[in-house]
Amino acid sequence: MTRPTRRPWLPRRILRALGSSCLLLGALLGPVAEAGGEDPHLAAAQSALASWDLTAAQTSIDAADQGAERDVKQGVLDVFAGRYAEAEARLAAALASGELPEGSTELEEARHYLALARGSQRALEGSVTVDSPDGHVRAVFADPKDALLAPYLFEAMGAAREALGADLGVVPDHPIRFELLDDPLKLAMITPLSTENIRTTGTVGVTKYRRIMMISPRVMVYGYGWIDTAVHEYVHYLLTMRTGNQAPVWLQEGLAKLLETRWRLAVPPPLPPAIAHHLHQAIVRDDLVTLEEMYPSVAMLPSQERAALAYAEVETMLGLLLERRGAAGIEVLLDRVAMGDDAKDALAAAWGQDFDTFMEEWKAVTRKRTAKADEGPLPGPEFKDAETESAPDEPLGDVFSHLGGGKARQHARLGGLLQGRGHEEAAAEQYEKARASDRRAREDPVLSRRLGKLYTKLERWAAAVPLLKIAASAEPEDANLAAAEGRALLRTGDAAGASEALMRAVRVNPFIPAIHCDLAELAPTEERREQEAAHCGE
Amino acid sequence: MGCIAVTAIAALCAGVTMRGDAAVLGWMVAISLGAAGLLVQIVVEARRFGSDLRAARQIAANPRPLGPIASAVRAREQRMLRHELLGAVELASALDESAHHAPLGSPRLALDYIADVVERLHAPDVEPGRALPSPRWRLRAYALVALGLGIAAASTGPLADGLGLLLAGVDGRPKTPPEPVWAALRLHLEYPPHTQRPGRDLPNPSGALRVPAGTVIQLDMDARQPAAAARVIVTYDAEELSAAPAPEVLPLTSQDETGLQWSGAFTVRSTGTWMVVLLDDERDAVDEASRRSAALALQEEPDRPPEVELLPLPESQREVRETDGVELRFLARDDFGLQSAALVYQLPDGTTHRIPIASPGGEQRRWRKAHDWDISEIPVTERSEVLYWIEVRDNDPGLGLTPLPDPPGKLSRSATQHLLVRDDEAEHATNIVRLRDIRDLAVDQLAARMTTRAFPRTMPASAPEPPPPPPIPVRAALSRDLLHRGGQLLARLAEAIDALSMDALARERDVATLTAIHKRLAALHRTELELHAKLPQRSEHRDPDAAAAALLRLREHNREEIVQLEDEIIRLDDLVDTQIIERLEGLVARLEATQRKLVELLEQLQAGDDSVRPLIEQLEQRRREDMRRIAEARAMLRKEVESEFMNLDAFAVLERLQQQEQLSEMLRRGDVDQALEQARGELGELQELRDQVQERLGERDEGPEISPEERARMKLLRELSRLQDEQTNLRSQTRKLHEHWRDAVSERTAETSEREAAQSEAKALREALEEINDARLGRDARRGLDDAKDALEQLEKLGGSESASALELAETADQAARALQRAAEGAEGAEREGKEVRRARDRATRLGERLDGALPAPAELLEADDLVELQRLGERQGGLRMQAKELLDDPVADQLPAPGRKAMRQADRSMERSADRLGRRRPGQAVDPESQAWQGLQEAIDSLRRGSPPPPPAASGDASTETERDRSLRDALMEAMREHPPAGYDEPVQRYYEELLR
Repeated sequence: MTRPTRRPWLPRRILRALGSSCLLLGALLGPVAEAGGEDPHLAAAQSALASWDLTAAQTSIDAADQGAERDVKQGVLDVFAGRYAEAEARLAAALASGELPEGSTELEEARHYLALARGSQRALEGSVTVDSPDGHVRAVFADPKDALLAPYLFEAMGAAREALGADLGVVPDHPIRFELLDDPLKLAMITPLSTENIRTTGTVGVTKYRRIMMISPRVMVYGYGWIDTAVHEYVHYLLTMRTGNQAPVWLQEGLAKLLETRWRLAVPPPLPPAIAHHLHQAIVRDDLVTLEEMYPSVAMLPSQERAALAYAEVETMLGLLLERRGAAGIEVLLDRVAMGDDAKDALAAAWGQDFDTFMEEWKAVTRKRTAKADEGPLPGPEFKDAETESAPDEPLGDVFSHLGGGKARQHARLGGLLQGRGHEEAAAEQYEKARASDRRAREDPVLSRRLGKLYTKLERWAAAVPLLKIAASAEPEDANLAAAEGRALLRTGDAAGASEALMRAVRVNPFIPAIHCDLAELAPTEERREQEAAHCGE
Repeated sequence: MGCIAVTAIAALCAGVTMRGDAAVLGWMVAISLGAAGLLVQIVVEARRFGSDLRAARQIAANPRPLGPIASAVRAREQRMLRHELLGAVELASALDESAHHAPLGSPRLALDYIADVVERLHAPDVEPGRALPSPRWRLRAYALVALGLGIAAASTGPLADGLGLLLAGVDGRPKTPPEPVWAALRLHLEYPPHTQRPGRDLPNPSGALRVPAGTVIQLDMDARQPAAAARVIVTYDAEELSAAPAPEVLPLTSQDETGLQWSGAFTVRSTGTWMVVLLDDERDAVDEASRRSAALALQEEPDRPPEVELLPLPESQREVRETDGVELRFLARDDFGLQSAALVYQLPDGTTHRIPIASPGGEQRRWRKAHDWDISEIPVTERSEVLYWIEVRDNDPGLGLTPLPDPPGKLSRSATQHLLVRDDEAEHATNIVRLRDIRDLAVDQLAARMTTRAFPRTMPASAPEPPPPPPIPVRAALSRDLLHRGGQLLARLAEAIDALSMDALARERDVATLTAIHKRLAALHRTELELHAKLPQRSEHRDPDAAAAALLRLREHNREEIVQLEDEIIRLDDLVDTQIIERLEGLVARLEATQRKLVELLEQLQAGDDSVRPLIEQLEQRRREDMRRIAEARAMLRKEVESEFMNLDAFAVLERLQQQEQLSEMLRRGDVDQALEQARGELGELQELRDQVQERLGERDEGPEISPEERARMKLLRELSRLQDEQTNLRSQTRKLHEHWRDAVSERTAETSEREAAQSEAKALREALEEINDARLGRDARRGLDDAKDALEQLEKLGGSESASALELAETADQAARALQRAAEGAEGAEREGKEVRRARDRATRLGERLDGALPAPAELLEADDLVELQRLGERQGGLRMQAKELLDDPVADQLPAPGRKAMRQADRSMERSADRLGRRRPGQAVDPESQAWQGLQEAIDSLRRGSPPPPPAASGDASTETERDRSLRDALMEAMREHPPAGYDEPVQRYYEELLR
């Protein structure tokens, strides 16, 4: 499978953020930690559920008096624990008893969680559940085909658990439940989001009800950074636990974005050029999204551009804190928030100066760092539909406008025309002529991508490798490109390079069959080799 | 003969008196008398000629000679012989008597004398036939002729009638009508409204009533004798006996207690009779009543079908392009009034489409119309012959007994005419595909030449080692194959040049480009042919060394071919891209035009004009067709330039248009407002996108590839286009306010004095116009004059109608003034006709102003918000005027040709007038100047388009060939398309892009 020239880096980042926004919104709408009931045990259960402490919640429920209200709390706990059938039976009985007063919170809660329990059962009908070998992750795949994701997810979550546990000071003592769905409609069935919300905002992950719900990359045209998204959601999970669900939206999203690559990178990567340009323009024009505007959810901002800007703002704000004050700064911030401080005050305390001073410094630093960023398009995510079962073939037309005029452009165009007519040898020759014409063309990622992939097709691996490296540096999130690079490196004997490239492809779209053929060759163990070979296909 | 004469006389008498019975008696008497007279005459004659002696005496009494007269002596002798014959007969008688009595003389002498007389009677010159006088044949012949002529002369008149009566023996006189049942009868005829006739009173009618069907006859009767009840019986004639309509029996109402005064009414529905029946008892049957009037005839005055005459188009307009418009002129008449007219056209597949033509208002008896037919409304594919005609319907409401075959009204159609419509767009699309195929062929040829094994190749370092070259004969065959491919490409190029030359949408420059490509490749091909001449067939077997040498030369030539093909392919590719993009732009421009028209029609529909519904449906159909073509062009573009260059936003707009609910569906639900809102939104979207593109391109830094003149020209075009859009918007809003005012005043009925004054003034003015010799006016002026006459005729009619509103009067007078303004503009001012037209125009203008003055001013009726809006519009118009002035003062306006400057000055004056009228709160009067301002701007744009483009910029950079030129210009366009979609290209913008791409 191939994919077009633009990589959907932005959607991935935005989507993760949207997912966490949903988390926060959901948390606000979820069980309220207040002692509203007559029975103090039920109030305690409510409080424990709000902070996802199921053990404490179960203890309180057991101590409470028998009755419909107790059944409701037990039903909610069952939902949080993923016991949907039990939850449905218990909640339905509570509602049928007639003991819940009309208009009461308990009645609404029972109805909501009953619908959720039923929706979850329908969405996960025929699902398979896979537990990680270390027991820290439980993955439920709505479609067994998606079980292919399990080993990569477990591996990444193992790394994330270690890294983020150290950074945030939280290590869950229970397995993290992931539910991987094969249809955006199913996400709408088990979250308060509508299908329209999901398709419009491109939401792919939600953390809510003490579990992480995600859409499989298999149902996206070009896949998406699903592992980073899983970690992003995991950060939300940890922050909810760490702060007792008291972190505001901007803090949740900022840290989740900042740390979503922590499982694989020690230092967060810089902002992509297009979003950096966007942020620079907003600072210059004083058109930033305020922290207040981000409440109750970044997903509710008026456009995708504003949402992207909001994520860039909070990510760089917390990035600056981490950079200048180190992990201690983050720790102070989270401790203060957990203690109930206002998040801005907490940030100011972590920074060491008042919040306005921090913001001035942040603007100055960010403005300078983003000054040279190039403008670029902000493409949206793309779900597969009935007509888009697979990614379209890679286009072969003239995509070399950036080369301007001259011989390089002419030969590049000729190469495209020849390739379009199936004259691959001649096309390669013309592309080489274009590269020989000037330096800019030699370093051009678009031309390199085109020729590199053509050489891969012609099995001229050695010639392909440098070209694909140039292309991949510009589009690291392109799974097809990464797969081609991995194949070329493997054929030239660079096993380490090939493995890195292939894992890059896996991070975005592990459903490219050829990846697994190459991974099978690189597998360190026989078991892994067999596992990869099972998914291999050319 | 006498019998005939008697008969004729009797018939004549019968014919004159109608008394066949009396005439036959007279005839019989006359014939009897005649027969008796004849008998008497026979007896008299018998007596007269009863003996020899009486015969001899008759002979002797005749003085004529007995034979041809030879001499006077002989004539005397013959006369004497007559007497001697008498003497001989007397002697013979005496001899016979002497036999019984005593002899009177000598018998022998007597006998001798008798014998002598006999002998002389036998003389050769004596003719016994002359002895007695001959019958009077001549007199009889004259009488016979006279009688014959008399009969012939009277055979068609009373004589013929009389003969019939005579033969029948009947009294032919009409029977004496029964005694009238009424002493006095008064009828009032109330004609149906569509006849536009006033009512009429008829006292004591005696003959047939001839009235149109639907006429109501109000009857008031004074009976001679009292009656208990009275009825009117109306009997209609049957067209078929089996379907004879039953008589209608209508009761009359007694007006007093005496039973003498009766009244009632009946409606005439067909030809027939009517009578009044008086009943002695309410329960009496009508057919048994003894007192009934004579049956009085009713004759239905026919309402004839309308007539329509469609003038044929000039020869030059009988073949048109789909984007053209033609003016159809027709004349329609009807005896009572015309109701509607429609243009009907039939496509080659047999489907017909109907376009309503706006009626001039009221039910006029004569229409003289000029209809502008927008050919773009016709959904044709490629080249099609379209049949068309005009259908008119009269205002006959079908009040007769026989229902109308195709109501409402009666339909008539003009003669069918032909129109040839060319869809250049479809032909152009075919040519684009042809060009693309040629480019692909050239690409294949390039690949073949680059990878051929006919010549050894120099491979790049990264390439695998090439296989060893094949033997010489194989290489020779491969080189011949390359030659053959070259010939094929040239042949295809030649075909494409021919096709493109005929393509109305292809630019000459493109044909020239293709021709130049052909020329260069053909020159190389000739060289290759010459080289191949040194490598004849089979020579490679005979002389391998010579063949190898020839192949070496061909290898060098092949390199030249490759270099040339590399250039030509790029040129061909540019040509294909450009053609596709232009096609797409043209289609989008057409789509915008369709959308604009749709909005206009929906506005009309919203204002209550229901006749535009079919047009809206047709436009929707056309829009769907345009969408389909755009999708087709887009698919083609996608293959060529990839999504990087795709105008995704523009296509998203188009897709949205496709997905939106069909307007027709909304209209079917009656949701006109929503449909209009949606259509306006769609149009706005297209326009906005276009503006963004223009703005973006205008903001781009100057590049070396565009000359300053060219840039100035582009800027000017852009600014003019923007001004025009603003003016369009302003006019639309002004119209809206005017409509508000119209709604408020439309119900006000005009004062009688006002109406009458308008009527007489309109009549006088029309008569004055009739006096003008229109043959001395130009074509446009004549049309204006005709339109003014129609308007004045309408005004006369309105003046006579009590229900006419003051608004109608004022608007019709304005219409006449506007038409006369057009006439004045097209007339020669110095000539008498021109002066007369101007005088008439001034009169009509004054009349319009006077009638306008009778209406409340908009300021009195419009709501506060509307007044604020009006003021804002006035300010906007002033602002637009200032912008237009500044534009003219800007150095970029140097690019504007003289006609364009003139048009801008006109636009400036119109804007001034418009601003003034808006300031005076007269939105209705501002619309015309606003339209004129818009037109001025359009003319300025047109003049800029027609003008020669500025010289091309000097060649830039160090590009060694044209194909290596900096393509940043094309990229700029592509970039603009990508970032801000260029939907809504209109002609100037299209031109702009053409220049940009050049």
